[in-house]
Amino acid sequence: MLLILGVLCALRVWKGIRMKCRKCGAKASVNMRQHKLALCKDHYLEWVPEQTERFIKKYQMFRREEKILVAVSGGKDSLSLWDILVRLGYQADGLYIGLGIDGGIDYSDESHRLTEEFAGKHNLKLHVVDVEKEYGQSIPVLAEMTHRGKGKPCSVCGLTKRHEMNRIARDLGYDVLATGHNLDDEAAVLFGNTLTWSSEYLLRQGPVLPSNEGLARKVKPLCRFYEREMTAYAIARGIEYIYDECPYAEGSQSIYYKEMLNQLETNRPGAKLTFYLSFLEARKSGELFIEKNIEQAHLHPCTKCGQLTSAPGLCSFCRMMDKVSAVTGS
Amino acid sequence: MTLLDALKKSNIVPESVIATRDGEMILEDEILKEGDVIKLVAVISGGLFKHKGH
Repeated sequence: MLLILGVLCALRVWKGIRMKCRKCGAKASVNMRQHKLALCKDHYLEWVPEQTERFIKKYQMFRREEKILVAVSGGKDSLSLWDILVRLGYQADGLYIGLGIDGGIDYSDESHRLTEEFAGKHNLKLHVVDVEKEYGQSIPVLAEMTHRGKGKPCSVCGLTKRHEMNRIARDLGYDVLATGHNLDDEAAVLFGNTLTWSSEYLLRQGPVLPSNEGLARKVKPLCRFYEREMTAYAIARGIEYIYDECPYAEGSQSIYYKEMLNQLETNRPGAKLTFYLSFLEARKSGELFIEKNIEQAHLHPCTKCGQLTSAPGLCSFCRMMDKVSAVTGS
Repeated sequence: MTLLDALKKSNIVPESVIATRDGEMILEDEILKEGDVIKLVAVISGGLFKHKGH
């Protein structure tokens, strides 16, 4: 049997027969082995928004009449998400957070430029928050001053972005906050949290984080697309995005996990998708952990900004900013 | 030689890149000719936003 398959494959290559689009039979541009589906460029550009709409409905992310704030970084995922939501007819505005990261490649300036260019080209509303203007210091300086994150600013960056996204969504009255997390992002986080059996985090991971005490609902409409598929979408759609990775991301744990998962995927197509979807199923069915854990993870409003935090008193962000004020004397 | 052969020869994990030739995406079964210029776009991004919680 293997021999016959081998001969057939060899014949296919010899005769110059390439993979064909399942919908029209033209030469395929994208092959998704996990779905056993190959599509040409035009049909792929139709398929991605169709699937996104399916996921939005399946996980009850938002309705047509709701106002959506899309967190855009200038990268392929967030710009593609914005593009898709607008094409699907949703009311989606953008939020860009300027982090003040240079890294010798003008990283923040370039990602800001590309985001503005995208918004301008499609006549979309973009809100811009500059962390340095807002809080007096850029992300790398905040990280240095507060000694958070073992010499890397990623922890301060994530904390600040979450805080600012929540703040802007709340202050400007958005119902939903949408981020461009793809399946590889989700699988890498899941993998990390599984390695340490972080039950509280595992119970909160999913396509939708419900709204809570004035905070907007958080959704991830791209959570079932592979990162490779989103790259293909951005290329096929002609979206200009920042190719350079954040200079601080080099050597990060999440990238290491993604590389490992891609090795697995190469040998076992569909492994990443199964890993994530099986987790969602197990969580939904209550098989994963005892559900009462969710209630035990009670959140309290921060006494300064009002956002939810796991311990009573100030949230991590406000504690960090207090430290900065102590250093700068402001 | 196919694109897949070339990637394997260069120790590049096929899942981690998208290959383009003359601006068009090509698949792993594409036969490469002498003188073809193939651009590989890395698909992995990360480091930020990739924290345990939300």
